[in-house]
Amino acid sequence: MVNKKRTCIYIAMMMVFIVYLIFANQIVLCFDKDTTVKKAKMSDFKSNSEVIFSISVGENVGGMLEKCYMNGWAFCETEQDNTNKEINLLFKDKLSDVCYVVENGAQMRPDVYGVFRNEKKIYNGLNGLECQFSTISFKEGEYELFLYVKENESNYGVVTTGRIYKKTGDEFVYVN
Amino acid sequence: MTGNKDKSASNNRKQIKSTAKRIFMDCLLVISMAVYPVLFMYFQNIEEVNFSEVSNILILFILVALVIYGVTFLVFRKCGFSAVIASIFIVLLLNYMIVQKGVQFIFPSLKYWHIFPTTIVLFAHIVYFLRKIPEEHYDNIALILQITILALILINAIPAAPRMISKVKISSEQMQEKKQSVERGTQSNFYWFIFDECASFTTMDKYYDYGDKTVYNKLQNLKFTISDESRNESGNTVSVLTNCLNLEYVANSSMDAIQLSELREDNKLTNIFIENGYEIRGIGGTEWLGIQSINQTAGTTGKTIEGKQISDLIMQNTVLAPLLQFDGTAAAKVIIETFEYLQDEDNIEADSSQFNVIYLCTPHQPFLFDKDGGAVSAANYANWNDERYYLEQYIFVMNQMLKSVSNIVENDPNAIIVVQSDHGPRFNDEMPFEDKINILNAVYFRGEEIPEIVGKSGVNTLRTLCNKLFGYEFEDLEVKDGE
Repeated sequence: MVNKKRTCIYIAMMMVFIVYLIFANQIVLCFDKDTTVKKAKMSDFKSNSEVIFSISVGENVGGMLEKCYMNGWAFCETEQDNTNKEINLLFKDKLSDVCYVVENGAQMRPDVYGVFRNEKKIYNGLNGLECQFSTISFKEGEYELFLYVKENESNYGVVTTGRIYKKTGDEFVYVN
Repeated sequence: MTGNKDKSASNNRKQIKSTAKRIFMDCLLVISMAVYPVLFMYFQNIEEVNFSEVSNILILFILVALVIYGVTFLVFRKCGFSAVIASIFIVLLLNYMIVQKGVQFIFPSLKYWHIFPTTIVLFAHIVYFLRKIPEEHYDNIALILQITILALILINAIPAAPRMISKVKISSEQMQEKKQSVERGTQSNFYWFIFDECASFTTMDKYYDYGDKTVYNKLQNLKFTISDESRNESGNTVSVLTNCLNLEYVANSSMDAIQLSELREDNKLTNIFIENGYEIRGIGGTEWLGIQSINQTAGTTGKTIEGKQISDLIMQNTVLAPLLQFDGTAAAKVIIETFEYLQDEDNIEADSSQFNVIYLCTPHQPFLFDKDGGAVSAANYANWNDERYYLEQYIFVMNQMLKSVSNIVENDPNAIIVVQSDHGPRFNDEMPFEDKINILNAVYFRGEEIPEIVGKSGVNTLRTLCNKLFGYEFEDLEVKDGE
């Protein structure tokens, strides 16, 4: 009787452990305060405006969560309010339509506004991108980096940066 | 009856003694297993490493080993068995990363939080089956392990002994040489700290409601003269510092990077110090100023070519390695390493004719640190809308600056220390231009008052100090706004 009880407890604990192993990545990422990464289809992202941008190649910060840091700026011409502007990184798998989306709100870059205010319809200084994200959910392979800028419901755009990144092991590096 | 009682008491005492002896031997075994990797690394690098660099890790490993043994003994209540299991577990923890790398070679998608718990679960299963082996075998296994590990320690210690003796001799020779080399340059060291985008104390009080005078008062207690009214000519770091290096307003914001770079080559400030027998040293992010940074150069004494210390090498295979690795940006690393360098008394050589330029791009964005030095989310690296990000990074930087200058004043009291910024916070919309260019400016001059610098710009402060140090007669220059 006691042995049977112990066996049941043992099996239950092993099952909990196996469930933990399956969802361990997601559990650990819950404690990460940096930008979350979601999976999506590239074809979900529409474009009706040109994107003007400058993005750094990125820094492989590493650590347990295999983080990558990128910064820069981007905007679409618009004349409407952009309080909820987004500048998202889209890492598109070269072999499929799948992409990993790093969502970011725009940050202040008044210097960019100062440079473009007379040449373009840049709305304000909300053009900055600063993000650090974990790449542990990225499958191994090569990804092309796109930017998706959503100024508002009227002006949004997708543009390729032309850059290819490769995920191998615990590294996520710029290759081309 | 009495005889039986005496016999029983005597037997009890013998048993207690025997158990205590076995526990002692067990503790010796687990401690030996824990310290062997540390001692091995120390003996292998004894010429370059001091015992003090490994002593803390030794103590930590000993304590952990005793705790592990204590827990296993409480669980199993068997001396020899507990010692053997604890020893195997200690070896596993100390070499965990080898296991992880092996597993990841086959299953690259598995991470630390998959492999470590799985290792523990598998180990627990192995221990369960090992319990079935008769207990008396474990006493023999423990003895064999003990002899083996002590022999290994001795094998490494004996050849290291003569190298340790020769190291003591070389150290005293090096001290002699150092003394002689110091005699070649014995003038007061000059430390010029530049904190990019650092507000003056007045600005912080006025616009960030930060009236905490702790740092201000401590600087005054250290005999710093603080100028609240100093301002530079613009908010452009490159032109401002180019002017400081030239001790004149030769640059302006409309010049391009190449023009400004050319103006920094062969500049007046460093030439004055070189002509007066000084060595020019950069600390922190000074490469763009044309000054090599000494603390960003790896391969110095006691470090590997990658800049690792012995403690890093010891820990890099242990179960703690992933938790200890630095996971900040390169910019954060420069800031932390620079402050650590300046807060280490071993890096301060008093009266050695050094002109030290310390440049850090902080509290300038990105806002990497909170007030306690903790990491900030990248989403707020450029968050000027919420004042606390700039404020907290400012607080962190000022506290670290204070520790650094306190270390210098304590170990190099004859020094000259200039703590400046190039400009204040530029992206605070409330602030008018004249407050944006109001700078931090505090000077320590060998413990003496130096009221001459009050109200002066960065350029004029440096000109004043050159006059005072070397007898030049530079006059104050007009500070032109907005250039």
